[in-house]
Amino acid sequence: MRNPKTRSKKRTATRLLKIVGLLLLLAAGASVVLVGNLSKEIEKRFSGRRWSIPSRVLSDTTMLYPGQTFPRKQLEAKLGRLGYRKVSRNPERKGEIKTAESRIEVFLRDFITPQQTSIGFPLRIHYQKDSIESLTRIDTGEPVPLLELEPEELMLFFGKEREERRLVSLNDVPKHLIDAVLAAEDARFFHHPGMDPLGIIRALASNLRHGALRQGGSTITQQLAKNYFLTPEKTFSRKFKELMISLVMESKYSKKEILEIYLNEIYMGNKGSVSINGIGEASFFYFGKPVNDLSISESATLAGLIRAPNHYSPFADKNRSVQRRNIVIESMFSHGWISRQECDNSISQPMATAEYETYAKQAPYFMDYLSHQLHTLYSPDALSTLGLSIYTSLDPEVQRAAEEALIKGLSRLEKANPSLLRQEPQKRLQGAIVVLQPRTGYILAMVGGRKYSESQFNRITQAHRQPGSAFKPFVFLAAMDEYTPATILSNEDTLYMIEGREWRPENYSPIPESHITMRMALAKSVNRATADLTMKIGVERIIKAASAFGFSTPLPPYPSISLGSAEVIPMEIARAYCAFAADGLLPHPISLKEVANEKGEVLERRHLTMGNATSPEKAFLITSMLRSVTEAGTARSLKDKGVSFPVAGKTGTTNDFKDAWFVGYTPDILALVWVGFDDSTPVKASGSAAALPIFADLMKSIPQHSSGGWFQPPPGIVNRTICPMSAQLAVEGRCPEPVQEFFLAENAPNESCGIHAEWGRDSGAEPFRQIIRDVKKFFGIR
Amino acid sequence: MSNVQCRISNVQGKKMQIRYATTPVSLLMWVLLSLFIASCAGPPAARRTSRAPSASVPDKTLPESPPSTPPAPAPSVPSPQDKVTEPRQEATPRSVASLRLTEQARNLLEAGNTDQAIRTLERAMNLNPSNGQNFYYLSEAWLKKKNYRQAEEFNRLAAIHLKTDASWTARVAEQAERIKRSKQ
Repeated sequence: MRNPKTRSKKRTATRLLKIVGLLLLLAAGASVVLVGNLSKEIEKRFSGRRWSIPSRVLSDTTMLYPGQTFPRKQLEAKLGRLGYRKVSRNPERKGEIKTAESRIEVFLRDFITPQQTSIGFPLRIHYQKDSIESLTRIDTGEPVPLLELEPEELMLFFGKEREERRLVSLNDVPKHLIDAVLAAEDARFFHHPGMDPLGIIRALASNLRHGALRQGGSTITQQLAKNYFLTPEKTFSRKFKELMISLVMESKYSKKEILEIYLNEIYMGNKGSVSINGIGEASFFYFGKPVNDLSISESATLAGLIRAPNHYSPFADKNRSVQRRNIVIESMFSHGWISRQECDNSISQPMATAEYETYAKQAPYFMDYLSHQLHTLYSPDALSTLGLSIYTSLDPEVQRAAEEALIKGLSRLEKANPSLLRQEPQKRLQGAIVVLQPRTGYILAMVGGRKYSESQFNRITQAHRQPGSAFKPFVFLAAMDEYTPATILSNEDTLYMIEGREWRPENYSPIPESHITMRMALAKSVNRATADLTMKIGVERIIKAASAFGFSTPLPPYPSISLGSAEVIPMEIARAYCAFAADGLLPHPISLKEVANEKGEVLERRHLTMGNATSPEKAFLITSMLRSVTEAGTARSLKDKGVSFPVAGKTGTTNDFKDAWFVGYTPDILALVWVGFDDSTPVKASGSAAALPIFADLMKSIPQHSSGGWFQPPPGIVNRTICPMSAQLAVEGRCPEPVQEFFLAENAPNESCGIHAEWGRDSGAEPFRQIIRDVKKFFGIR
Repeated sequence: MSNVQCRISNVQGKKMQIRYATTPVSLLMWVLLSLFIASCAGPPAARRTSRAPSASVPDKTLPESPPSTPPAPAPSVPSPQDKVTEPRQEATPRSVASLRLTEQARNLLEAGNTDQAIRTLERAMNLNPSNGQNFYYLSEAWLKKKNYRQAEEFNRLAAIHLKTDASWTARVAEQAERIKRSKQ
């Protein structure tokens, strides 16, 4: 910026400046008050918090281990989002990745979480189809049994200034970057006392010519003074104040301190409406790497930006950016800071920038939910300035899979039934998904609606909807003290009179049997049998059992509650089902895990907490019955949709098809899907037709979360072979369809089947047929 | 009649035996059957397998060590040392990874890093929700933090998920005692 014009001019200018400088110093000396004040101001500013740093919201970390199913494409995409750059040679620096047919080689980065400090190393991931076959350290050849990948950055809490900044220490800044900045802005920085007389003369001359302040002519110290303490108006008095501050700053702080503050302060461009401040953030924004990884040409590009970041941005105009960069490189060479060869090499480098990223809010409904909790702990001001690290439970892979499954599923429904299409975005068919870890209550994913930009209403946490048949497990649970999965219920068309009002439940689809076991009544979601059970055990018991699951919405004591007439919050239904998957323990949903300050000290920590909703034995029985839903009941289409591992689940459909639900779980993961219109117009589809396919899509895209394992019966559970017709112990060879059934040890049947044990009740031919069957069986003939 | 006895000995429940024996038609059946058996005496093993699909309650209390896992050392030491042991159930990559975290957490716990240990145990729990040893150490951690309610819950879960392992069951029972004493 101080392009030398002529040597002679420079000399006279210097002389002139000395006089002016002296005068200025005299003026400053005279106004002791002013200097004193400035000094105080500077000290205050420097000793206090220097910058506002937005807090960062981070996802959960990801575990990798040999044998894990984690499709290669998915892992590659994940590493891409974590900022790893693909290279064609072997990765040599942290943050590089090379992919091949059956393996990924990655040089892991260092990272710090409240749990651990991880030092990056080169890793080879061998693939066998969709599974990780082995993890090996490339440098030592050692196998890695378990690896934690760093969390993804999900969101930043910006203040009013909307600045983003990543602090760097001068020790981390490579020499060539400092040289580049000095070459571009203030080559004599280490030699002048805070102001560069030549610069001022040039500025004065230019201003006298134009009659106003046009040119800065500022040293790095002056630029800092201007940015840090002054308003941007261009007046002579301000210029004077800037000079005073610069001189005071130089007398109080070392050159290195001033340079470090400068490098962290400077404006380096814009990312949408957010300003990029400091060389550290700029390094990531423009080149996707920390400052110590910058090459000479990259350093020169950044240094060249300082003059006019948006004008010289490689994102704005690559050629202009390259020209500017080369000027800086040449200046570095002319000062003797780099060799001829380095200079030539750097100039011939192509401009390779990082991908331009904008701040698309990730997992927006989850972020709202999280922010709500954070705001009870920290003020918005604290969040936007303290640079906190907020560790969450969110799993970006699950979140992505849930978002995609929902959008796909809803479009599919509209395509199949165009009458569901709406013109107005506010009235469109909606859906919501929440995915939880049943034991810990960690929220892995939350999709509160179809499109956040159209509607921020979170249908998982804010909607009140009728659960329909998704409520039935709580009814069946209430009966488990005296009834068993084998208990026979009536499926007959019955008119009940309740406080003078008629109640006549209908089944959604015809069920021909007049009687049905509890297991099949739940599996097939039979309304009449559920009503029969409700009348047998009484509504109060149902309310009592359901209350233990922590519903915050009222549960009015009407029999229709057993068919899901009382509105609930979807999140609370999901949470309640968690207890079935977790030995009867009801977890508290967790989105926020830890908050750490800039130094990595944990300020806030949330561990799982749980309450007792029911016994492990009863939870197991409900889970076992809910598995029949997916194997022989309303959700048996799950297998056809490609979900081959065991799942417990329940569909829900409300009156006139206003709501379609599916809740499904394994020991590892639980997901709830809801589909409906906000104004409750019918979706014209059942839970199994509308919500279940979305669940299936979701589960198929996250194979790393389904181990295929199943629940082990707790100690108080016994297994008996029974005759489903009598709900009593099957008589070997006589009961036509003996089945295995689980019971609470205290109410397992101990009588043999009364129907088939007494020959007299059978037709005359039956004994002989039975003999033939027995004989055949004896010899293993089918 | 000895054949009849042998035949029904596998059928569970005394009542059933009595009914079989006392119903006249059933007697007739057994007579016919014994004739068949007398005429073709197959090897007993074959008979057993042919009967397999009918009423048999699997006895889960008998541990079946899978051939893939190395045999456990003879239980010469009565009380097990404090360490994470190989599971008796079939080891999956997930359960192996989970146990590895449990071991890490145990070390953290030993070093007095209770909060970090809990976080690691939670992570292990996510990888394998039926990792019983993990519940044991979670209980241990909450006991250290003097949250007895949580300690009790996890102790209960440890009891459920370690019920097939005698030495661990003893440790879990001992832990329950300790929680009880600490509460007072």
